[in-house]
Amino acid sequence: MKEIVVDVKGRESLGKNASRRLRHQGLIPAIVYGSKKEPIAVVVDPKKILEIIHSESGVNTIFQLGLAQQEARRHVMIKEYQVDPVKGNLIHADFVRIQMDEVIEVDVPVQVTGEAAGVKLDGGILDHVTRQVRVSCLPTDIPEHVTIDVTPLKIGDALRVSDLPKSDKYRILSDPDLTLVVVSPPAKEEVIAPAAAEAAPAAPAEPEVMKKGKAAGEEPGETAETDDAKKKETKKPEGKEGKK
Amino acid sequence: MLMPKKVKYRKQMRGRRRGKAWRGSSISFGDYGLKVLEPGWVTDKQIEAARIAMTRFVKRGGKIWVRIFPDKPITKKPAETRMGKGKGAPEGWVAVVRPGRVLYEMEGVTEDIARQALRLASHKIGLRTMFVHRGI
Repeated sequence: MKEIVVDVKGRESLGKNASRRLRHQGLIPAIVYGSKKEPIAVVVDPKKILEIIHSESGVNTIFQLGLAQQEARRHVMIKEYQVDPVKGNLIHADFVRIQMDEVIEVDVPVQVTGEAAGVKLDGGILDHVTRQVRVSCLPTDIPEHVTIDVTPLKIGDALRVSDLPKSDKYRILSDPDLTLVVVSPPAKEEVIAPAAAEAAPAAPAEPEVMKKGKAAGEEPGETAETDDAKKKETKKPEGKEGKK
Repeated sequence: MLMPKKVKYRKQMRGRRRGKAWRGSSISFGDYGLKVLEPGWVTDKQIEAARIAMTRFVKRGGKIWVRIFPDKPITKKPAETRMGKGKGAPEGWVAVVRPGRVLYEMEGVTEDIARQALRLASHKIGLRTMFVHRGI
């Protein structure tokens, strides 16, 4: 395990405005908690956190957090992070303290290897149903990913959590019946969809019919009112005004 | 076209579209997606047209998810009608989108094909969009 050290500073001013000012300076607010100790609000450089997130072990990387005033360096892990929905940059991070001798639970990504026979020969689609599995292990034994070989899969075949390779270092906690990947047939819907699309321009009135049909599913009184209103509109635009 | 099966009220106020899409702003199902960069309304016809454009391009391969649903009724007054006399009749359905919202997701195709398919789809949506892939 590579020993990564991230230096942080304590944060006295909390809240929205102070956090916003921090982000303008190119830093982000963060919080450290866990191990039955008081949480500490800190300031951190987002570049270092992004490096950790983009590393091989991703958010499961255990690194050392160096807090100048209150605490010596200690092992932490990223528990959660928030990203701006438009710009995609980090805006907040949660760090959880880790006891290196205590078993922890983490989500480990499932990595697929090989090309499924159903995809290669029959043109099926490999559908990743579950991308992460819950694993219990010691902090030093966290796997970067759990690998699964999909080469023998034909159309309709699936791999479940129970098919994952067993290991002495970690225990998989996810439901054994949980589907990981499935090879679905080349969807007929997708083939039919273009035909339906071709028909659509030919019948532009179709949505209105569907709208009426759907309106019939509503309350009967309301539906009648809707239909009447539409008839009036089509015949006499002024007549609709007189309704009220 | 997409529309709700049942609604509580036939007509709604127009509302405002302030802020960003804090929900539905990350890739949840597929590998690639189309993210909208400005607020607006996406009509049922636009959603369907974009989906068809993508489906036609990828042909047999790939799986597509539509992450928005037009659940807001839009009304319109008839042409050459004087103002007043109440709100117009329901005309169509729209999905309200805020910047950051993922509109479509794709899986089972290469990145090049996904980019091209989503580019075609983006031309059907009358808003600025961006191609995104899983992760940050």
